[in-house]
Amino acid sequence: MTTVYSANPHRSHRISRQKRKRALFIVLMLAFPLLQFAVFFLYVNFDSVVMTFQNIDYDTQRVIWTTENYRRFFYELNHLKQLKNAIGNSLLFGLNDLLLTLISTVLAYFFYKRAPGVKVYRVIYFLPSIISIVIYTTVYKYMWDPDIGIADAILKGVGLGFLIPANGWLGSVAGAKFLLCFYCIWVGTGYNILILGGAMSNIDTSVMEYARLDGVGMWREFWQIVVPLIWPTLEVALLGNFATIFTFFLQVQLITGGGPDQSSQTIAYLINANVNNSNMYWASTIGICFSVFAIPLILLLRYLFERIGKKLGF
Amino acid sequence: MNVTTAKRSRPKMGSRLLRPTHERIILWIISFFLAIYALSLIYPFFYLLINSFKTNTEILLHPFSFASAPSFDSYHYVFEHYGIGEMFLNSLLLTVGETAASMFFTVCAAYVLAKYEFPGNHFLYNLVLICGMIPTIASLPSTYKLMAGSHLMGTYIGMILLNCGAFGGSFLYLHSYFRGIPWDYAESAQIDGADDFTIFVRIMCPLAKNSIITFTIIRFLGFWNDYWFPSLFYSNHPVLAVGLANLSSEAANGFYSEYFAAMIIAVIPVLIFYAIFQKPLMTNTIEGGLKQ
Repeated sequence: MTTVYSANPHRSHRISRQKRKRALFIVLMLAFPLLQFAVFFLYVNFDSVVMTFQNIDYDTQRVIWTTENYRRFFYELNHLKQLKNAIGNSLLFGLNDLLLTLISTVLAYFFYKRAPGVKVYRVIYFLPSIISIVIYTTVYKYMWDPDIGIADAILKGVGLGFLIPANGWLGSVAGAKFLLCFYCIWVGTGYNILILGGAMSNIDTSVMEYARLDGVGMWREFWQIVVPLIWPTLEVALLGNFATIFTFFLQVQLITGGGPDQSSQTIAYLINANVNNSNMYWASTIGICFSVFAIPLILLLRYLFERIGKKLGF
Repeated sequence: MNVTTAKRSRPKMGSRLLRPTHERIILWIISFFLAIYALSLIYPFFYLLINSFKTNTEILLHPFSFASAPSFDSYHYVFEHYGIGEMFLNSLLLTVGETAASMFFTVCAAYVLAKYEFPGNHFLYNLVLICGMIPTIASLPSTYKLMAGSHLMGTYIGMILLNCGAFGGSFLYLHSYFRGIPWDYAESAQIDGADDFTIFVRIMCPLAKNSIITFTIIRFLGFWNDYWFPSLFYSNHPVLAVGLANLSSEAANGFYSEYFAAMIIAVIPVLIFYAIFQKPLMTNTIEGGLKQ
């Protein structure tokens, strides 16, 4: 912490004038940011909770107070497929992002070990992080296109054509979900390698050298030295990536459109779609109910990771 | 990586001196697979490029070969029919406005909270820290209601207001950066009679110049690529990302070549941007994160 300036001029009336000027400066600098924050963050989040108890009355077109949204939520959860399906998918993509983190850790290790060519690969792997998701999902879709896509051509070429679903990738439930999971890993490693690689580059090299002199191979080096030493960063990456369960929908919208037959929708997809159809009160209820269920899940995961961290000595 | 000093004094980590032969072989094999992966990330753009010079019939017959009679017809068509120039302009205007506004307010707020003690300072800082963890998707419906109710929907000023939040990821970084600058620098100026505003603009901001520029670059890219908010709140003025997504129906109607040409046109400026700013983008992602 640095020392914060305190005024020490000679005369008292100058102090008070300076103080007033300083107070004015602080107010001017903070007024708009705080106002914006109050409206677009605090009010909006507060209103999301309020909205779950409201709806539009169809006859009068007025806002009414009601618990109908909640009753609808639990009815749909118990009797209809859509919500259950969406919750399952959100969790699936969250787990997929945990897998992405692990794959990225392994890749970051090979980058750290300076496998030949990694300087070039690092720049290329980062491309999806700087090119619009609209463009990357589009080129991805054309890779898997049944008529003009390269993926099917390669699979058929190496004798794996039987893997291609009969209705095409986007036409089958498993195919569509696979395409989404594969996409996240395909475009996601670059960013994660950068973060995890940054942590690895901070490892004290003498630790590695001693281990090396003791004849520790790459497998043990990775699991017993690198992973424990970068655990704090890895933990943040795992949690941050798992939090995708709240937000994952753009990829769904742009690649599968939620299909086939609503099977690849996620919670965030439903919220966005309902907002688009002006079902804002219902969308809000989905969001809040899901948060109530998912936030403890994240906290539990965090607790588990911290336990592991404590065992490793952090 | 960043062990330049170690490089000279002793063999660096993973150097050949310390590396057994079988590990070198393993790393070469790994490198081969890493290369295939890298190729898979670039090839799709090569595919778009070669197909954008073909006719649509040729694309369907020979999707992987070079054009037999390359032509720029698709590119002409894109500029004449898709309004891509207007999308570029919309993107540019919106991105510049959002970046400038959000960076301006972030720097102001981060500076004041870092450098001045006043009642509520710590409360505000902690509030911002905690709020950063709340996912935004659940508040989308109420944000939409707010935008629609206040006639900000579809307006330039509405988009700026929505996106000029000062307390994003780079706020925390700039806050700690300003904290790290000793106040001594300002003291002599203060003796010369400089007020707080002058100190902020003439002394502190120049000292934090590099960080501010880097975050400006990162934000610019983030806003340029943003699809979600413009598609919801600014769809009447399609920016590039929204316009391209809308064009996907063109490909569904068989206009592959034209659609691919539009993609190529859209991706070229970003690639140039990446070529120029690749270093600051990647090094600062490690520290501050890409997301706003």
